[in-house]
Amino acid sequence: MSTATTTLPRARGGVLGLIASTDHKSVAIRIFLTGFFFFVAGGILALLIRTELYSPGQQLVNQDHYNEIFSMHGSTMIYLFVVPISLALGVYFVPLQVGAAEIALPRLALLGWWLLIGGGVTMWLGWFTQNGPGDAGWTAYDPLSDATNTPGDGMYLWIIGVMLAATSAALLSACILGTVMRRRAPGMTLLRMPVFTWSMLMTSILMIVAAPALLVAMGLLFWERVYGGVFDTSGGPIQYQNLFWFFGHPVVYVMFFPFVGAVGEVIAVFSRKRFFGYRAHVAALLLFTALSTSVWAHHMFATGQITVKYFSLMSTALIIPAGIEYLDLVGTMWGGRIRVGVPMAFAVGFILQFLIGGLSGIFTGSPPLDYHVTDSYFIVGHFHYTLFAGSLFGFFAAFYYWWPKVTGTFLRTGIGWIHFVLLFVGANVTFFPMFFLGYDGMPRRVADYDPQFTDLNRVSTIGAFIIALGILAWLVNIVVSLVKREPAPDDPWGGHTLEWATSSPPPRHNFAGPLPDVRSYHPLFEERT
Amino acid sequence: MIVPLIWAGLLAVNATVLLALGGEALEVLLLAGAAAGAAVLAAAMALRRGRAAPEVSGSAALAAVAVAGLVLGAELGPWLLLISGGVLLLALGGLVREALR
Repeated sequence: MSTATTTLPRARGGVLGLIASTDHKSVAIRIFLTGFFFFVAGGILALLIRTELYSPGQQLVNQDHYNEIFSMHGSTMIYLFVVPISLALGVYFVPLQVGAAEIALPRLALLGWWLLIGGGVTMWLGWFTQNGPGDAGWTAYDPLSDATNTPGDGMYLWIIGVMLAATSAALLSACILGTVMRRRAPGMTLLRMPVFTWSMLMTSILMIVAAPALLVAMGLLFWERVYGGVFDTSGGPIQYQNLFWFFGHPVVYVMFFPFVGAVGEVIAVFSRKRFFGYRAHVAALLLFTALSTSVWAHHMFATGQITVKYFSLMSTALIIPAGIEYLDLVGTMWGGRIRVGVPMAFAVGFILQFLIGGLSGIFTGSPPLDYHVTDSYFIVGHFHYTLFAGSLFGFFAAFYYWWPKVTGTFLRTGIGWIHFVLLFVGANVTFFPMFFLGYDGMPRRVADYDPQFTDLNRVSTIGAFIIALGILAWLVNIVVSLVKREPAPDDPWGGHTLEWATSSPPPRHNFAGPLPDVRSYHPLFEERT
Repeated sequence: MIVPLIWAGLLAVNATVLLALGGEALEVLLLAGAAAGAAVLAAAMALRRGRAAPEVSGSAALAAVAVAGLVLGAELGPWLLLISGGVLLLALGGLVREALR
């Protein structure tokens, strides 16, 4: 095994390499940096939202600007941050985990990164137009998003930005899918693939099948705004919602699967045990994927124009694969010699908080309860527990776990713990009050509210600033760790999977020497035991 | 190939359940379409053969700029459509050249 180095992977070929390198690791880092830029931008918008909501009345922005801010916050976080970084993890690590020298279709990966930049810049250019950016929410429901209700170029730019970002995600997914199907090392059968690779495989299939529905919805919305005649019929708005949510619900799992896979790797390695219930986990992932594509219209219960019986049944059935996955994660820890570390802390944080997101999802999957909480702050609390308190904690578990592999250095543990504690406290202080606010009747998407909701809104706003401090701690950690480098060995955690069998950072074609024999889904663990 | 096929099968089962429970035409169409899409994906994966890619691909980056320009041209005007169309042709030429190397 090669020795540790402290050099960061550099783009090949100078400036041309920076803009056109096809090395999957370099592409993934550039996707991450792009997503990170938009994360900061979307985070600033979140702080503006929470500052406005600190008190009833309108202090900072009026309702129109508030609409723009929350619409761009949601759109940025989903289309330009969480989806891209979840795919970036796959673009970097799937080829390494399956023992491939490079990703399949590397030019498509490069194209995907450039389209992401194009989409993000286009969407944000809306701020410079006369009527501001798109302000019809991240869902852009018609007729709210039509030319009469949302006039101006900003909405067009938003639509184009979404189309480019969705195309980017579909292309990156195709690369990951192709790598899993075509580039696996000898001995790496499907049932010997690591859990993270399995989760990325499911993610890519979901995205490739769901993205066309969004592209069609956006194309038709564009047409509707210019010429009309598409959604301005009696059932038109429902048709738009069907098309949108056919993408919009699966994308929730695109923002979940990669992180549950990464958390599975972290928990197995930090529990010094093989992953518990591997085959059941794979079966659950398959079932999860099929069900997640089949429940989109539960977002539309309140319209009264969908097949409620079917969508409620399927939504409730999601408990089965979710339960299996949770059992596997907890079962992996059970009886393990658990090593306490920052990646493990974030992994456990993910499990706890995603559970709250999932359980509140059972409420919203039940039509009678959904009718009560629909369009209320309960929904805002629910999806922030899944996307922020869940997925982002999974992302940070992955970040701290794989940072030594990507850079050849360690992040600072002390600052990592500060980051974790601030984020855990901040996330719960911010999002838990939203359940009570929503249940008691505070509607979402409002800049002003009834004074009876003041106290809980203030708690939520304080929580948002604690989150900001946590993110600041993370940035400080990155800067400190890059400036004063603490070299990491090739396999600092005692990893189970092939990425730990190469140098840190990995060479251009990933593995300088021969690969270890692959006889299971944890080849390095097996070698050691 | 087997994974997208299994997935297509599961989606087809769900589409059948939806149909049995009186699903709307668009709902059934979306789900059945996804099942068919997954099956096509499986076939595409079976047929696709990988090729080595160059270290850098300026043409791929240029193609992205052209695609973004083409879509933006729908909003900003035909001048951008024409420029982006030309850039796309250049990028495609470059990609063909890369493939023939």
